[in-house]
Amino acid sequence: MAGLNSVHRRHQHLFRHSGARSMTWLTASAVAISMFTTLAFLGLLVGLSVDWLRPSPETVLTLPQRLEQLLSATPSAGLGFTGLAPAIFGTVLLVILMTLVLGPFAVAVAIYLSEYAARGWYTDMVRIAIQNLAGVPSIIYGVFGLGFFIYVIGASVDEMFFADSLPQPTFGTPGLLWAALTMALMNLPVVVVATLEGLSRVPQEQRYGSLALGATRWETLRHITLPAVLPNILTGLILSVARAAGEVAPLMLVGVVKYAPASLVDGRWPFVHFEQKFMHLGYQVYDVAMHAPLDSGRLELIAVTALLLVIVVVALNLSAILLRLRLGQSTAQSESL
Amino acid sequence: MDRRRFIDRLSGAAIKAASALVLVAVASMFVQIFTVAFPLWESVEWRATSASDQVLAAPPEWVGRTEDLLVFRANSRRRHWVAASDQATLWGQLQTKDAPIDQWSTLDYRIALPPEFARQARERVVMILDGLQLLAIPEPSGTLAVIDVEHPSMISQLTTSPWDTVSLAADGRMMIQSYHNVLSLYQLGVGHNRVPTVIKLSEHRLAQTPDQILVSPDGVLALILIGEKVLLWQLYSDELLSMEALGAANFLSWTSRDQFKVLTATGDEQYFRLKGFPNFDMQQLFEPQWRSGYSSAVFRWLPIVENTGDFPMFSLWPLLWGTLKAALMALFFALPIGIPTAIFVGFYMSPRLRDRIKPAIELLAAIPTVVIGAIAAVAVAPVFYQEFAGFLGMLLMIPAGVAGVAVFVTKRGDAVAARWQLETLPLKISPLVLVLAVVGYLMGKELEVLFFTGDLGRFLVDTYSISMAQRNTILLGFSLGIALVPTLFTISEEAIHAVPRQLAAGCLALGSSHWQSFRDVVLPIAFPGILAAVLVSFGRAIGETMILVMVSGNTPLMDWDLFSGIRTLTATLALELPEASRNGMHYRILFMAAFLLFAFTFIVNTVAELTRSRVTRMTTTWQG
Amino acid sequence: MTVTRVLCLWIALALDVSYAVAQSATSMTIVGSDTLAALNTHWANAFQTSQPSASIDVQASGSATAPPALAAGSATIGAMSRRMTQSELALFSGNASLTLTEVIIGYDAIAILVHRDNPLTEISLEQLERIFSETRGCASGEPIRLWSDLIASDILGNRAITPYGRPASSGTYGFFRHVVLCGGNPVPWINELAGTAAIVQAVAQEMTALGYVGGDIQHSGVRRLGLTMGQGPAVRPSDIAYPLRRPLYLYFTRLRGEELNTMTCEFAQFVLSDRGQELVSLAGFSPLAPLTAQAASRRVCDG
Repeated sequence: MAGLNSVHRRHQHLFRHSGARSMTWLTASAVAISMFTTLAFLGLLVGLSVDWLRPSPETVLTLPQRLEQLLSATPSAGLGFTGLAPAIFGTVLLVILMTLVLGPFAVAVAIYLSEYAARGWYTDMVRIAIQNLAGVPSIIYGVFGLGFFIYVIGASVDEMFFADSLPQPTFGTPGLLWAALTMALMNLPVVVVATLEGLSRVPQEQRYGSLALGATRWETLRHITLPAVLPNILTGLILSVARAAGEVAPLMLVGVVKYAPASLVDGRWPFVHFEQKFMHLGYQVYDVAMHAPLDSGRLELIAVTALLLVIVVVALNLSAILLRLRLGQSTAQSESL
Repeated sequence: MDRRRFIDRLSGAAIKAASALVLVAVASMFVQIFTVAFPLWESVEWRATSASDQVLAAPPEWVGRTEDLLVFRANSRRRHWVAASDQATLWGQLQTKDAPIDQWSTLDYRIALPPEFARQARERVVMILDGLQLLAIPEPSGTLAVIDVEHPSMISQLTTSPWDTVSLAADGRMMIQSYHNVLSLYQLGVGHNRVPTVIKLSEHRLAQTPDQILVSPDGVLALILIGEKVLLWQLYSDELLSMEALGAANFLSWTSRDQFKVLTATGDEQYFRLKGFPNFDMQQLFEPQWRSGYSSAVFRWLPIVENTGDFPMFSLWPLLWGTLKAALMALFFALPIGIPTAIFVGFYMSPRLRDRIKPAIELLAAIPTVVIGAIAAVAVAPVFYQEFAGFLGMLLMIPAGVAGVAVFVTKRGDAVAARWQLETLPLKISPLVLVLAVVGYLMGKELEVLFFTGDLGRFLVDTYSISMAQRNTILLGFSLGIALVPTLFTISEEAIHAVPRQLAAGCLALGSSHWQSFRDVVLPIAFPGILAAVLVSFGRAIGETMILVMVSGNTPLMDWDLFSGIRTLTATLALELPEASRNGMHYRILFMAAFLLFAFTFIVNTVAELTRSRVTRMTTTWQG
Repeated sequence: MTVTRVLCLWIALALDVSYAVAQSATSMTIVGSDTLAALNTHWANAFQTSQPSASIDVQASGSATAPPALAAGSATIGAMSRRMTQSELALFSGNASLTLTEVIIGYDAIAILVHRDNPLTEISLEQLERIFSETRGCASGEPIRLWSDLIASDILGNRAITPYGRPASSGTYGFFRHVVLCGGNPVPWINELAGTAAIVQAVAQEMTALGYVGGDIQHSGVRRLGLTMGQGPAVRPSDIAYPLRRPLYLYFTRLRGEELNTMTCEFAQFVLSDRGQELVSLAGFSPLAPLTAQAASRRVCDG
């Protein structure tokens, strides 16, 4: 490694041959072009959003008022556009529910693969299944969620527990719970892979030590291994939360609506209404792009909604990356110890 | 102690169960999506059932006059109509729902039939077509007289062909005639000026002359009684199915869309219901279909959500074609950017800088595609369309300029290259890219004025008859390409970076250049990984939905034209599945499309995974 | 530990927000027409202001979504920009417990749009059919693909017409296909965009575009064409004689033989009230005549 780094410093070496020069140049240009494209795209997004924020002579509202309107829970004066608060709230509830399902499930699968499984066809199949889940188009999860969660499981739940209200379905219709389950299945590989990565870094000696002291497998997991991989699990969960906030296609099939007032949580039993339809920030971007009112600020409004989503998603990803960086340092330390 | 053991066992069991659940989930995804699609292939069957209720009964004073009266019933959008007719008069009772409230208002009327139609009492049919109430009276000589009941003086005489037996659908637009053993299918319509029209759709030759023909109320099926045998004619797919003999049947009638009544010789009434999807066959999905109004067989995706008696067309080819076209176009844009970037970051860049840059690119991968789609559709599409020459100039100028400089530094760039700082090279090139973009844009505009009469779009039309749509494949490929670059980059960069550096260092020590060591040593090892990256991105392009829904224009076309729009499988699923009625034919066909998509990406991803694991094995062998 | 604290804070915040907006609610779902989406949202909102205990979800993906959702019971109100067809009504005739109440809540004219600078001012139904239809069910004549077949103009030359329309789920599509295409098949190169606003915007930016949309479109980038039929003068979308004018419907499900339930009934009456009808005209549709609305309002809840 060190040798190559010193090569990097002596640049003449790199460019001695003409072919080498042109390839270096071309690949570097590709980097420049990707940077340029990305910056152009982000610049467009941010620029349009800034235009929205800047008070124009047509709008009487000041900036704080406009922001308040954007984030409010009620529709604005212009037809067709709703404040983003219910969408943000719906997204938060969706990801909380998804995390509750996804976290234990994915961690258990990762633990199985890393700690329990012996190499064999069964383990290979589970591995292949997870790897393949990562590549399945998101819309397929929506199709599956609609066909299986809603029309098979949901319909059965209705027949068993809500037979009184049939043919009015309670759970046999798109809703929050099924959307959360669909998202959990979609994000399973993300969390499993992140957790596996962490588990592979926990020194084997720590487990042996714990087992040698008479702890059971579960106790070793509970007190030694899991605390060590907690940051990895969190990284995976944060990444999947970001994905759940931005993924729209499957949700269009399993329960997202254009407009649903905040009735997901209220004072009535069971307080959180899993069967209800909800609003979603990512869907709101789609909706606003297709239906936003046709006044002069349409483009800017779309951009600002999209930028808000980008900020949420990027912030979540950034926290996952920071977590991982800190984590890389800490494991490096423990290894050096 | 026991409690600890118990908890240990319990947790172990739970963990194993979770792993099994993964397999169950993947298997059930396959099975579930397939089982919804599967009933399409089930064979069409009769099932004997009990009687069903009639929608509208005839007024009591007409009942029992079956000898000299013909009683008709027709139901449509806002009208129920019961009518009776003898040789010379038509009595009708019309119930309409034109008031804002769901209440029927009733109107009785009586029309004297023109004397020239008085003869043919048996075969006249009352129908409601496109909101008009029509009395259609087919003449055996081959004319079809259509009387608009609201304006009885308006009689249209349409020419068909001579017949022995005839049947018209009440709500649909179908008429079947038979002349000896030849069956002809006609479609009726109403023109803009309330003038009825008739078009011949198809013709079939039977072994025998049919005794009775009966079009189903919605005009999608027909029963043909020949002796004791009944044929089912699927009007969509134009296929004749032979059904088993029903015994001594002598009269058939439809009682609902999928149920019919048989009156046996002994006077018993038997009811049968059709099971399965009589209008489905695989040819419909994958072979060109001929329909009335088309000069030849065509591939069309044309689902009919609202059942108007028209034939839906479910050809999957335009959707598959669009999916493939979009994915290839996206790769065309993404490959030349993504892979060289991966080479630079994975091979040339110092590991320290690489570790800083990689997360930034991963952040880009996290940008939701709905955002890319929204910005591309709303902000970029119109500009791209209006300033196409400028953009084309940009698209050509940037690679051309970069390649030009590459040629320059290859030929005689020693002095320039000596001053290059590898780490900051891309940053230094960025202004050049910006300059190239601006120059390209201006040059495009300038050339447009000089050579293309100031309007490239118009020039293309006038010279090559190519018309550009705002929602075109180039723009679509570009926006989808942007979404693919991070994936393409991440996987191929990892493959390149995984190649042990000692190998490259060894080459350098032996006197090869950096590029030679990359080309001859690193690339062969990393190649399967790069291939995997291309495959995975291809899979992503196939499965991407939101960008396609918003940018593609959703035109189910099959052509090579890069200036026209497309429609993809995923966009069709997202747009149509929420409204397809559950377990209907459209719903099941969409599930089958989803299954195809699922299976295809599954294969692509497995292949990618296998190639990638080869790299891992090779690199670990070398490192080991 | 910090992470746990942040998580706790986050959840607490989420719950806090939720309780702030939470209300005890009686829930209804409106499913159906995208054309009516904005109107539904505004009805829902205005209704909730007067009935704080009500909660209304709006789902808008096309009129065809309404009947299955109503029949399955997943929605109680269907919004449709066309009347239910017989096969859709059959979903209810076979249903032992549910039946429908149909209410016309206003009228909508489908506007034919072109770019602001397009010199075309009127178009005939026949021409529209020749542009949009592949099979030409009304047998209007040869297909038209180029602007030069419609109008001799310097800006348009012989460029191809880019047709814009709504997806098959939309009631606007159904109505357009029914009336203009006489049920014929549309050409496959019609750009189908999922939202009315998206179509208007696309037409405003594309000189060669010709699109149809539901609703009363006021946008400086587009012009609405007058329609001619036969020899008569062009009819504007605001005229009663405009051929592409259609009633808009709400369908309410109720138990067979019973009245509408209280909340649904109140909503129906609200829709037909002065305030509800005011929102209809605000959303760009023509409201009912006041007397008709009042008469309808009196009878709407009856079984």
